[in-house]
Amino acid sequence: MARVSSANTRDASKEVMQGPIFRSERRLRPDQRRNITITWVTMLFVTLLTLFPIFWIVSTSLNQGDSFATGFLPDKYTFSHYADVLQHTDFLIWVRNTLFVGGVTGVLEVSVIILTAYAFSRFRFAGRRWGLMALLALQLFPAVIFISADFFVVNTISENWFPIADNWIGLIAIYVGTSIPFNTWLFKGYIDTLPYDLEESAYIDGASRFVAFWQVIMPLCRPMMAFIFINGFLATANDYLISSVIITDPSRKTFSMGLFDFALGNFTTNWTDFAAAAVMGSVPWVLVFLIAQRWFVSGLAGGAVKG
Amino acid sequence: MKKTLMALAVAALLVVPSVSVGNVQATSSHAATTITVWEDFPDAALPQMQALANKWAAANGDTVKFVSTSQPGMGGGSQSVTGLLQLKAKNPDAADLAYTTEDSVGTLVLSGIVAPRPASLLSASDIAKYTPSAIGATYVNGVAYSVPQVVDGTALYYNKKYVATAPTTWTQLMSMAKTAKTNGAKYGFLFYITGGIYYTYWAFSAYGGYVFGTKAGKPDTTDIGLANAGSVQAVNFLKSLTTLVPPTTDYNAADSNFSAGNTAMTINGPWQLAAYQKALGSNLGVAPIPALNGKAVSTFIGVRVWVVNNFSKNQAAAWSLAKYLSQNGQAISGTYEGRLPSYKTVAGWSLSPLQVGFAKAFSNGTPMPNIPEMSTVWTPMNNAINLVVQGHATTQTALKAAVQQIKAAIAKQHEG
Amino acid sequence: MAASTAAVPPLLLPSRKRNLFPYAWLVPALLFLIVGILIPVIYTVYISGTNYDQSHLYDFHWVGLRNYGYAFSTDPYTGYMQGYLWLFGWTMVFATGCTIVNICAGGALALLVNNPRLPGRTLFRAFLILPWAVPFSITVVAWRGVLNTDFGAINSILSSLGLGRPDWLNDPNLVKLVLIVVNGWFSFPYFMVLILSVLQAIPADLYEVAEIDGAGAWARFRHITIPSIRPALAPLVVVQFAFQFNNAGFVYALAGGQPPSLDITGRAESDILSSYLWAQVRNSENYAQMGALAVLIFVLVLAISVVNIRLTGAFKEVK
Repeated sequence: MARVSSANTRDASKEVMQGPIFRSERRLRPDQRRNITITWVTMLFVTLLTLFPIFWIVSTSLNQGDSFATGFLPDKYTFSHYADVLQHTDFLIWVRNTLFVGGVTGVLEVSVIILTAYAFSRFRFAGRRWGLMALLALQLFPAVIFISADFFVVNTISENWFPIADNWIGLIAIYVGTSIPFNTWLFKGYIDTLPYDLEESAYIDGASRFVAFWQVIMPLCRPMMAFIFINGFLATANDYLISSVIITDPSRKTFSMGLFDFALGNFTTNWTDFAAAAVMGSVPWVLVFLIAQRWFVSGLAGGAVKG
Repeated sequence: MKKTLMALAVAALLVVPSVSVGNVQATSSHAATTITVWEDFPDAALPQMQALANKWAAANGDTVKFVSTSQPGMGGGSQSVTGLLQLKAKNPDAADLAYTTEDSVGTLVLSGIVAPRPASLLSASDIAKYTPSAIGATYVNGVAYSVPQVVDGTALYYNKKYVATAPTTWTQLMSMAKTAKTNGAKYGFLFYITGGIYYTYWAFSAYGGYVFGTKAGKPDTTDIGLANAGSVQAVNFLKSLTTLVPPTTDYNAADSNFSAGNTAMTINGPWQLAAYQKALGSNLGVAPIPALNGKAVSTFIGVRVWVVNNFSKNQAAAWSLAKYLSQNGQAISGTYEGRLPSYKTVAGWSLSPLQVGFAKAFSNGTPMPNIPEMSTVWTPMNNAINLVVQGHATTQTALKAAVQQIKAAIAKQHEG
Repeated sequence: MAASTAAVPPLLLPSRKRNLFPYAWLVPALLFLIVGILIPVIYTVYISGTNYDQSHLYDFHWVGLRNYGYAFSTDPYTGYMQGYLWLFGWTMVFATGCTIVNICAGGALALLVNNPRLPGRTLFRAFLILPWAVPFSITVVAWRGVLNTDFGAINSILSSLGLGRPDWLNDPNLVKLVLIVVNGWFSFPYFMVLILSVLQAIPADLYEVAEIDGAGAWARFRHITIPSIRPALAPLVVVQFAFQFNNAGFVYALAGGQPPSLDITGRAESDILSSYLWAQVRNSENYAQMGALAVLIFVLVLAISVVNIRLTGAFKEVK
């Protein structure tokens, strides 16, 4: 039975796509050529379908007026919506808020999770198995079903002690807390694949456990750390479920909160402005994603596949 | 002689303070506080109201801070003043005074969020200056909780470029709409058909539908007339309008098209008067909504009121400010907010010709019930109307289900 | 060098201090878990026994199990059981449908992209990752625009072909189909990437040997590819099912609480359990009843996941 060997898993970070190339078939037979053509046409069709909404949103952002382009391409081109969004909406405020909240969330997540994952991977202690099962179980319950309580706690504290509502502390605590189960599981799987010999030689040299972790293992975990940071940041930018319950002050809205109020508001559906905001908001993400693709793949494959 | 002089002097001391310039009651000396006001004034009205409030503030040694819940450029979805009060009335930074709709005061009273109006605040002569329906709207179950400011409702706007005189019946309106289209209008008639019962109550009233029946002069919440034969006919009529009005027309579509001169007629409220005047100039006309089923229709009218946060530490100052803004801001509201004053007459100011159209429309209006149970009516009815108009449910089923939802919500409200 | 997870030496325990050492590493996580999960869970249970809602925000009080009573009753004015059952049914269908569609779509595309002779392979892979790369909050509203009945691109095309304008987001049945299909659009890149990396880790010699032994393409697929993917897939199925079961964000963003249903729970025909809960909390301030629902959902997800894990045999070894 084929087993996924860890060596290949880590090598997925190299941008070489392997696959079975059979020695016996270097030249294409006619039926193989036909198969490749079918595959290629299918892929093209799927790709066009996939890109369709994205293409449409770019096209709408350039359309004059405030409703959709009636065809595929705008009737008249204008860049005014981009200027409109920057000047007349709180777009920049949302971006600033998201950068702050997302950044803090990402950094906290990475710090907390790497310690926890390392402990579960390398140490044996009472309650370890229970802890792992708990991490597994907790993955199945997202934060959204507890928003009644979130609202209640945040409001009670705001009324009686200090205004934590509209304050990002509660939001960040919830984001980090709910991300721990899944990410710890992933990270533990990744650390499990790192050979123990490196730490062993550090201990022989007299290093303490923590120093061994800090100097030996952490540098090796960089792809995974990047993955968890980006994931945490992205989750913050995308979340409107929890943030809209805890934050109502418009000056503290994060990106997707602002975007949703803007586009799904009761009275106005200002599609062209929304489209411009959407395009501006996604460009940095797409760049980050394309650059960090390799880390993602190796992070996911290393953690999830090993289970 | 001395005694008489003394008596006169004492009398003068008593009388003079209450005859004050601009009715500003100087309250007893206190530490300067900031009175926070939550409001949703249209852009044009806000600076005027702020200036007026500053006059009060100067006389009192306080400052008044207006916090706007409608954010320009944010496109809807913003918190309503009522919603804000419900969520945050107890917070340390909550408003002392709020500008809200009278039909929502009922729910606020239920949660203990608003304070009762002090009996001494408005004298009998003060009260007599308001129209009876305006001042009547401030009473919830017999207790006064607010100070009225303006009166609101809906009427028919028409573009004289396509429609010479306003239609008086709906049959006329439908044919005028068709002719308007041949004359170059993109839409003969467009309105916020998905806006629910607020924008369509006139149809219910014409066929005999009603929200709450009355018993002993008070609304009877066990008698809901929203699924009776009249209401069914009304909703069927609304559905028949979809030949003219696309069934998913939202506020923005109706509003922006009329502003742009694409529509011959629309239904909207006086808050848009200034914007439409700017867009259409002398082509703008206002008239009551046409008669339906042989009867003059009755739209919902609402009163915008000032309420004071029950958890505020500056309630006396807040009430004083409310009274000042109400009594001195009638002309400002009429001019800049567009809505109609709640005073019977305003000294030195009169309704613009277009506002007269609104006054005519409102003279036959139905004040929205301001009992707490009213808040349970909106969502079920809006859903039912939308389902029928968009063809996803039959009228009978939808309205029956809506009434059941309303009764369920009322039961929940009552059980405590 | 092969990973030697078995070679971790046991902790030396010379002193009591050593004993607590690993727990110190867990303290930060524990703190966040308490604040982010434990406290909300406790308060959810607490609120579910009160009448904390829109009419009782400042003077709520304990009502015992009344909200649970409503959840299980069929009273025409206070019984939510019927509505909840509809929600549950659709949630199960949605979660199952999405899991199947997403994994199959991702797997199929992974297999197609895995072909080394496909021209433009890297480019295809880069483009197909875009639904994942572009933030969800943006693409989901883009889909709302595309599916708009009167102005959307899809209906413009359909109506010009004479096929009418289906009410994608407001028809009770169409909206359900749309939710599953669009969810596929969002989710397939993740599975494609995952399954692709598993496929690429399969040693090429296995296929060569099999081909030399005379196995055809289909046999190679059945006996090499599928068994290699299966251990990775089993946990994915469980996690994906649980994720979609609770995917309120996607459902509400796309369907927006439309079309409204006719029962007294106030749910929408497109709502799954968690999106209904969110809408009720956010829009109707129905905190107490939704606290009870949250507890019921919690128990439900637990039960379903236990069944799921037993059936798929995932997580057999928790090392």
